[in-house]
Amino acid sequence: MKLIFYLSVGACLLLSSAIAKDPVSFEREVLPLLEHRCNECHHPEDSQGGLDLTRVATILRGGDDDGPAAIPGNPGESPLVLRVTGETKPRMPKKEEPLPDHEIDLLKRWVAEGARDDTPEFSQEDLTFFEKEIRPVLFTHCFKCHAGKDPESGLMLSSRYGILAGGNRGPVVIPGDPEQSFLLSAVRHEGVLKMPKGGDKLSEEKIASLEEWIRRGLPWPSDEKVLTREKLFTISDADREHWAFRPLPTSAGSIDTILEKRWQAEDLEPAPSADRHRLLRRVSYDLIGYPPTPEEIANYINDDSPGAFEKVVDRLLSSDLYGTRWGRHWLDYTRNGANGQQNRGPEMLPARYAKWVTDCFNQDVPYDWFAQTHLAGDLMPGRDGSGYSIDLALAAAVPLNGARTFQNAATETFALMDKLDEGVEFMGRSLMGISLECARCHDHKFDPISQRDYYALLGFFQSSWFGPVPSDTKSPAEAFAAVERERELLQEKAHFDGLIRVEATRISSHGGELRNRWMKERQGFLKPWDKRLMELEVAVLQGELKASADKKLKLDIQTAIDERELNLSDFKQRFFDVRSLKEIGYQIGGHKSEIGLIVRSEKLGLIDLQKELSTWKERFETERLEWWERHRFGSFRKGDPEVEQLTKWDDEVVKIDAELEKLRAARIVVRCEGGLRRAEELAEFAAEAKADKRQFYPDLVPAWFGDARLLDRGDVMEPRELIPRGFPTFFGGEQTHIDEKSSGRLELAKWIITQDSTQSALVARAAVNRMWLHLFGEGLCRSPKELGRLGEIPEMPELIDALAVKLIKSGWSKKSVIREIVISNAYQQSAITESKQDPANRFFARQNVRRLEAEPIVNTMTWIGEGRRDGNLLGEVHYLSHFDPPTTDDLIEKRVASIAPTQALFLMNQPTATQKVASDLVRRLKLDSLELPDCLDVIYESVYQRHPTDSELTFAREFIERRRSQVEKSITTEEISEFIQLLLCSNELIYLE
Amino acid sequence: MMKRRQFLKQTCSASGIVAASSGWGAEAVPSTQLHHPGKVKSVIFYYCRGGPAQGHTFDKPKKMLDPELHPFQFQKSGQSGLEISELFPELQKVADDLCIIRSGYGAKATHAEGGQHIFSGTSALKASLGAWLLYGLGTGNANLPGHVVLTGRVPGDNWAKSDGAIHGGARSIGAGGLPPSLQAQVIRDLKNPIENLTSPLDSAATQERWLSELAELNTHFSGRHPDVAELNSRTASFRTAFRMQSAAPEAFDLSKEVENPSIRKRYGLDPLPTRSTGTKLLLARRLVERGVRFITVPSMTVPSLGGGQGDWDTHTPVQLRGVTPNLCRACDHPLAGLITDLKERGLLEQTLVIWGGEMGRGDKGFLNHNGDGFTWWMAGGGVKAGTAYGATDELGFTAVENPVHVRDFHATILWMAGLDYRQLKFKGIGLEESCKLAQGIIS
Repeated sequence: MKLIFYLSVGACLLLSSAIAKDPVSFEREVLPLLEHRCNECHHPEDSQGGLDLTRVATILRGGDDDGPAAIPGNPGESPLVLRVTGETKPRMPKKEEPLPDHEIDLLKRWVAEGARDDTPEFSQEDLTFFEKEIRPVLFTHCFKCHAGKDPESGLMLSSRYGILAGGNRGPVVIPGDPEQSFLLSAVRHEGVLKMPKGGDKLSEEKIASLEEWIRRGLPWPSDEKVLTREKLFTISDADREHWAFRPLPTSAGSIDTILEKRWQAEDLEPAPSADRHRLLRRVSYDLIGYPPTPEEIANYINDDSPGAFEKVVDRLLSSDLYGTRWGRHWLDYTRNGANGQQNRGPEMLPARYAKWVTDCFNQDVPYDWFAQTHLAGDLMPGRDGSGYSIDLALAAAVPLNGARTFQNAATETFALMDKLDEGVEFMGRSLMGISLECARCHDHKFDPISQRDYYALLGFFQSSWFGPVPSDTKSPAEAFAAVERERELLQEKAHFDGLIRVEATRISSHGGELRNRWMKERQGFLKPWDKRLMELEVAVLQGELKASADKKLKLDIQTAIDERELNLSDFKQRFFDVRSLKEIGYQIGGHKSEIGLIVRSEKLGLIDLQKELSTWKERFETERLEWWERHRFGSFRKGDPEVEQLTKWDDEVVKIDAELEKLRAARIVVRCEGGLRRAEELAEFAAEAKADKRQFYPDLVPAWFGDARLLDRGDVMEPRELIPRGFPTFFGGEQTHIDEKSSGRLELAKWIITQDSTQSALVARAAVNRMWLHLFGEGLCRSPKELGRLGEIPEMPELIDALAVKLIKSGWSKKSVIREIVISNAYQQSAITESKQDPANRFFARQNVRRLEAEPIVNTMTWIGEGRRDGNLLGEVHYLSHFDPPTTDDLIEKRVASIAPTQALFLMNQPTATQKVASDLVRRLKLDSLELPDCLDVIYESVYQRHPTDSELTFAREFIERRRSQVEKSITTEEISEFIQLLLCSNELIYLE
Repeated sequence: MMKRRQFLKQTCSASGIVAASSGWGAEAVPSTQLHHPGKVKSVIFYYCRGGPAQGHTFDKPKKMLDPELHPFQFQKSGQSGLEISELFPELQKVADDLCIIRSGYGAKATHAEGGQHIFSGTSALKASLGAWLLYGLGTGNANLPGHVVLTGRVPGDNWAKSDGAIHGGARSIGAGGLPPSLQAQVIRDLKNPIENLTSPLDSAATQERWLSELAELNTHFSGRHPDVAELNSRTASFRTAFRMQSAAPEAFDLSKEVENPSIRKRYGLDPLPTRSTGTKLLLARRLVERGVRFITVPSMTVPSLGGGQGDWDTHTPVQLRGVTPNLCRACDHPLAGLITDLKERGLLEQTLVIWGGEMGRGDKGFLNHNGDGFTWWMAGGGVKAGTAYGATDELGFTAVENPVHVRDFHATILWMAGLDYRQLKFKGIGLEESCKLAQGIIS
């Protein structure tokens, strides 16, 4: 966009200079050039050097140093020209590229032609009209986008020349001719383009004023050429009236009443209730992620009492499997509660976090409290009254657990910024259901969130990081002290290491000569070792060649042997250093996925070879340690008289290491107070470290608290002013008192659930919308991560509001709202519909047919095969991977349900898939001892949780008899098993209806 | 508002996700309406993980601030005289087939986001380029995946240090908001590219019967929900799977190919540094011959000449001197071989070969991540061969002449396949409006 704008300005300038006939226009040519190149520093509010280059009058008056900036008719002596050509020093603009020749030419020509001002003069009446009617309209409705250096669509409405120049779509105003002016048709909403975009449509009076203004020829004040040099964030009525930003109603009607009213209005016929078998299956999967057991089916089917279904629901909600199922939904909004393994960060115990989440759901802890823990759990007391809880501190680390790398977060500002950005993103998307992170680079284009708001929030996260605390920490203060102690120890260690490094290099004379000499001499010593090792490798390869049956593999091995034998025939040893010795260790002993020679020889049964390799491994390891020592002690060994001082220092390091190790053994990495310093403040610490001869580690400076800087375009290389920590303007914008040694996250956590606030309403709306999603397969608002104006507008916001009110009134009890939804008639409807209306089911006049997610599919298989319902997915990774498991990369909006032949291949052909489950079921229920009709009934009940229909029975019998006639046997378990397998591959198994 | 059934009907026929709704194949090859005649039927993308430095490869800087950072020479190559780094002696020989685009910009200068952006940042749907192409062209072979990523090392390759991966992970090669089945299928194990291809049933006939039985069983359920299209798609996916059992092993079987010494030589299957890359590009050619639409081959981590290892993320002089030559070595010969091979087989006209990473290098620090200037080259598929398009500034950091935005690359590639970025839409959402065609690279 920026580029396009400049290009168009550039093209405009080029064009004008090409046509040399017309006199140069100050307003349309010179002023834009000056604005682009000079006036960031030379405008009325900031006239550096006393120079204001926005008006001809002030140009002729000039600044403090050079006198008049332009001498009409005499470009050769005009400071304006001399400064940009560099003939007068310093060249202007300062610290920027010099002006291109054609721009300089333009200025010269304008001065040569007499430095004339061609701006039209307007009458006082016109100017009053502008001030009264036009200025407020421009400020309130246009400058959110069409101002500043990078105006939307290249159109700058904050200056007369900008309006005359038009935007990417061409000219927008023909002065004097309103009907031909594109601007007017846009604000009248006549064409495709309707302005102001996303804002309130202008009133008829305002439109009439604009029309009049154009007719009068765009009157503009002569002393204020540019009304604003930045975009102006504004909040419109349309923002305030957006469904998700409105205040919640005070009371809530029942779900069914609200729906029925809408169905009537839309002329929709609701589906009948689902039959009991299918309803039980649905509610069982939805609440605990498992199908019902035969006993549960029987109990419900035979229960004629009026509250039979409620009984089922209450049983399910009190099952521990409820927490597993709904906790899993929560993990989806937390990037799978992932840890830093993939992004090289600290291990933050995802399994422990998941267990805690499960418990929270089972105990139905108030959701407002639960949400708060994810911002400031490390600063909150535990629910048991303890002063500090590791689990809460882990929850508070969740905003850090995104896919962006931790690597270099301490040293590279952009890595840190990206990491912190994930915190704001999590808070917006997962807790509030809005896209706060969009305001990182510019004011939010759709929602009332300014860029300043973003950085006000970022400050909370910037003042926090993670650190290790003892598992028995009693208070936030203790946790803070523990983190600081660790940093201190590491600092001290860095101090001694630095001393050792510098001194060792000095001892080693001439920057390491002794050390190099030692290394060089040692190469020769190692030559026979190296050669022997290669011989041993060839021996292993030869063993593998003999053992291998694969023709292609044999060829590969032979090539490898040939290469090595060629080398051995005229042996050139490799060059050794500490690193290559380490790699040799891997080569012999293995490392990660690399299988070592020892294991390879062991597999081949070459015991002698294995033994010899083991001794070599030890030898090389001893050698490596010596190398490391010689390197550290400037070619000497620790304790040698030459390195007495170094030895003392190293003893200190050993002590520190021991303490660190002891501390770490009892520590857990969690969220903690105190962030990393802002990049621009690191210099002094770096200098201090340098003076101290120690390595500088930006993450080891003492914990830091402070505000974030606004970054121009979100770019860490462009820091601007500090933005005090606080809350977005739209949500009240109040500043909050934050202690000097505090991140303020506790205040943030309190703020987000402030009673009767817009933000707490959002938190409630986001939560209930997701509940609906998990119970109907679609949310009431179908963009659950984006309830803001960019998201989809729900058909029934009143239902979301009602549920949100219920959630808050119940004391934020998720279970109670889930219960209310599930026992509504709406939930219990059948998914079958005769009606062809509302094909996308936006009004939920029926239930949806939906595929089970990965975990319930796995659950189903373990339940059918093993009769186990314990929520344990271990060992089923294979299954999970085929059915769209959650990713750790993202805050999941809704699970996808892909259909791929790889799934079919897996189910049909993988022996441990349906084949195993089917035969397990036969064995478990002793199906081979049953007569066929009974057997089929049991199978249908186990697999589909219902009885077979007559036509299904016929189908099943035919299936089985077809196979029996082939093998001429009366009964075998194989046909039964094969039939079960068919059911396990069927659609009904993994679709809920 | 469009009705759902109508919508499904439309999207299915326009998208190549016909009955099976699957990138792996479909019940029938769709008769897709191209928006205009296009040459490209398939794309092979050699992805340089980490962001290659244009100044070391295909964009010789006009001015060098620090010669330490520019140890490699460039030579004018071919009739066209394209300047190509000495690290690519084989590609220099096919210079007249290349179209080097030196004015890429609009990349994101961090790896994960950069990867996602360069592959899938051109639409609000966040669908990858491969998914869009497959969606637009439809499947070219009902029995094979339409969108594939080839990773892995051949047995015996202990030179390469990784299997190859794409920055940004699944999202970079995903379907985004397009039907999930358009996402890339990642081949991880070159010996066993697709799992579970062996049926426990004794014959194809038995399996055919089994499939009809499954279809019949499923009608009990789908009969209750005639409007739910997914149900039939899923039934059909079993049939596709069945056909894949025979088609996939054939497509991925290289045994005949590797017996041919000239193929071994052409793709560099014998020297260690080119062995795995050559194998993957050879596989890619086989998949192209069989109608696969989009194949990505990500570069692998390689050993450094000075010890250690690395990928294209070369930040320091030590890295660039140690790693860059090996990275180039790994792909130079096989890529040149691929281009020659495609040409001889008459496939180059319909196959677009692309080389490039998620960003360029330059700007502050000279070897830093850089989104304002990067170089890709293309061959085949109707690009203007033997040309260089666009240019960076003096230092080679910022695209200044004929700049091509990431989204313009996508629009242009799709255009060459006969797809108009303004018309290609799913649920009313298409590519970004600001896409422009880089007309200058189309012949």
